Amino acid sequence: MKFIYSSGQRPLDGYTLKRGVGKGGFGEVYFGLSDGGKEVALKLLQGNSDIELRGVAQCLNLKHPNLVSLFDLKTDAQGDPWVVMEYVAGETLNVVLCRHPNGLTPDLARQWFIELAEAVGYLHDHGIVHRDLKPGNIFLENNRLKIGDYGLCKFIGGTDGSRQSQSVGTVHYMAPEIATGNYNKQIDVYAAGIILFEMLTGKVPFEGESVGEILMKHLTAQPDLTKLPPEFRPVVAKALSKDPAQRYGSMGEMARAVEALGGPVKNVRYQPDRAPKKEKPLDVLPGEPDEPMMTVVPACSWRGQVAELCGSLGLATMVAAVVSILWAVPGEMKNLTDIGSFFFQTILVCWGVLIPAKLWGNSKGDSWKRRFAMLGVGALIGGAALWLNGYLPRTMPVEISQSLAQTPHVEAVMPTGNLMQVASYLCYFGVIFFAVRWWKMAAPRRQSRFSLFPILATGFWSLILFLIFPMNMSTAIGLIASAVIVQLVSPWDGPIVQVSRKKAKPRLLSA
Amino acid sequence: MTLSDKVLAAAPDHKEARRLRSLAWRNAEPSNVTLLTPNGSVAKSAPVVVEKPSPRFVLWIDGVGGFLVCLATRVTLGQAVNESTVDVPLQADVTRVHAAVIRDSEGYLVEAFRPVRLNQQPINRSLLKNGDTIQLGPSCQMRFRQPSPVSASACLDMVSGHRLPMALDGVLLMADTLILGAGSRAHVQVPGLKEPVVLFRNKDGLGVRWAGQFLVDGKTVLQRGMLGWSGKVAGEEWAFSLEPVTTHR
Repeated sequence: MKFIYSSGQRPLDGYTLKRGVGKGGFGEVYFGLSDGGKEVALKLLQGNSDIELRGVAQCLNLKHPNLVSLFDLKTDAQGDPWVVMEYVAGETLNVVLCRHPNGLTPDLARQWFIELAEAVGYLHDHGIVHRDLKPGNIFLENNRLKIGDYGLCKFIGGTDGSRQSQSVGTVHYMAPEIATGNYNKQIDVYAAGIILFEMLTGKVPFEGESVGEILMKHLTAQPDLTKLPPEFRPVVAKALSKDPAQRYGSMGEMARAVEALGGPVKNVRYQPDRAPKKEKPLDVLPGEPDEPMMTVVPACSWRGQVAELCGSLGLATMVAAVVSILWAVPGEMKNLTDIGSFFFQTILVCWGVLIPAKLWGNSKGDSWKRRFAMLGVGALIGGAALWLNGYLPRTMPVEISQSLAQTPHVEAVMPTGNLMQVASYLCYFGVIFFAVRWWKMAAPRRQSRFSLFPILATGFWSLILFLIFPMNMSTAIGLIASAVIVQLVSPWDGPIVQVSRKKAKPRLLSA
Repeated sequence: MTLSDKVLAAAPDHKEARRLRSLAWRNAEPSNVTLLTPNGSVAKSAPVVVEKPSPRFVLWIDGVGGFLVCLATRVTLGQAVNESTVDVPLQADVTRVHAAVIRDSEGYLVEAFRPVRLNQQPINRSLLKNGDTIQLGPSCQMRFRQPSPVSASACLDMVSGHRLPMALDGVLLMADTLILGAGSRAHVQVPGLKEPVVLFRNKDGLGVRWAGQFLVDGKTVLQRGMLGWSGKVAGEEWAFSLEPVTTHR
């Protein structure tokens, strides 16, 4: 809904608008606060005529518990008139009836109808015809019915009824004689009859495809009263008479007739059941619609984060397996242990990146601290890789691998002469984890889902280090593959959009 | 206190004596209030602490309503008085700091400082689940709702006709995101909204996500826009604004 004014504006001195509430044919309604803190509804009358304003002015001082109170009539700097009135927090009858497509209980319908009839009777008694009675103008606040929008009403000018320049009312509630332009308060009795019908059945008696069709039905068709509870039929039939003279003479009379149906009117408390209904889960979750499934579910809670991490770790394992198999041929791997070693090293590197990256998330931490943390992770992985490679017979003398079978302690089998090898493994992995900002590849808010740069960086460093610390070629390839895998399996929420903020730091942050 | 009483008896309008007496009464009040558990045993004393209000703002949605959005993980509820220090001030027969709703990794729980009923049962501390009715004091009832499976945010709807300040329609306990949409899985139901508008938390403010072009404080953005803790956002058929709540200190 588009409104002319937005929150915080003060078109009228003494009132601050907070939000738009709704729109009618006559203008916009806002919720606002007076400087003293009174909650009000402010109605901006657009395209108004003097007649309308005279109507509002006449209604300003009417008081009835079932009428929305009008407080004042004001004019803003542009010369537009505003009605200051009571803010009703409840729902309209329209909304309530939408929730009850088969109508309200007869007890509740009776109770509300009597309140409605009292209020309309009060208006008639003060010489005012509402002219636009409809569920959309009827509010329910704390189980009390209130009629609004009677600013549109016209005076009852004598008994003849004067011709109106403007067609009035909503077509479903429009009495047949309005077509002649010659009408009086009897049109409200007719509209009240339609509303009573609608409250009891959930539907208006005359429906149609077009305005003309509905108007024609009002003029000629007889309402189908069989849908009503039997005791209500004569009352509704009388109120909906085509001839105004056949209807109830006053709203009070009609109220008494409804009151007389059944026992005393109990005060039924309407409790809309707003408890959320069980529904099937959404097929498409709100958020980024066109991204792979993995990232659609925003992991918000702790549990979600863990689940997301597990997903990434699992996926990394699967992709690593595929890469290992693919690399088996060009990597000249001779047996399963070679492939296994490569596979495990790749998983270790991926997991070693994914887990700390998950902990850090999108937050901007000190890059150097992270590098040193990753250095530690790298050294650990280096140790593990060494163990993996060393354990395997390829790089280890046969007698050592045999002794391994007898000795449970891995450290014990490390030949002391291999200290250089230990150092080179630890350094190789440590330095590459330190040099490349791995966590950026796994950050949910990285610039793009998959970027070539970190892969090139990894390749560059592994090559440099390869020259310093002689290493198996597969190790370097494994690292590059890890850089690819980490990016593939990490969820991506899209980049952070930089929008300049003009607002100063708000007060509430300092609280 | 007795001295000030005597002075007051002699001179009922003596300002200083009045002030001193009220001070004395305040000092005489126990800082810890002992609560009775439902089974009658004396519970651990629950300290009634006057807490600093946490970051809050009002979300004014055109054509829909106004909502008090609380960002803190611990939100206090109590009576709306002038020097109210609670996050959710209620115009109801409740004490100044009546209860708290706390969000943790497992979900939400309500903690009672004064009598609280959860689905009619008196409680001291209890987990909340979607659809629970919390009653503070003798009559003030609200419904706890956690409508979206993809967001940890929750809603408190007033169901007993008691009022929030500024005729606000409800309280939103915002965790990570708030979803404004047409379905019942949205935190705020906006009828007729085809694509949901998602508000999300960001390091220094809020972000808005929507499938399309919209205005943030008058500037056009596509799909995603950032704003601080205040501002105006408007799409083709929807508009809302954020108003920070001044903390009463």
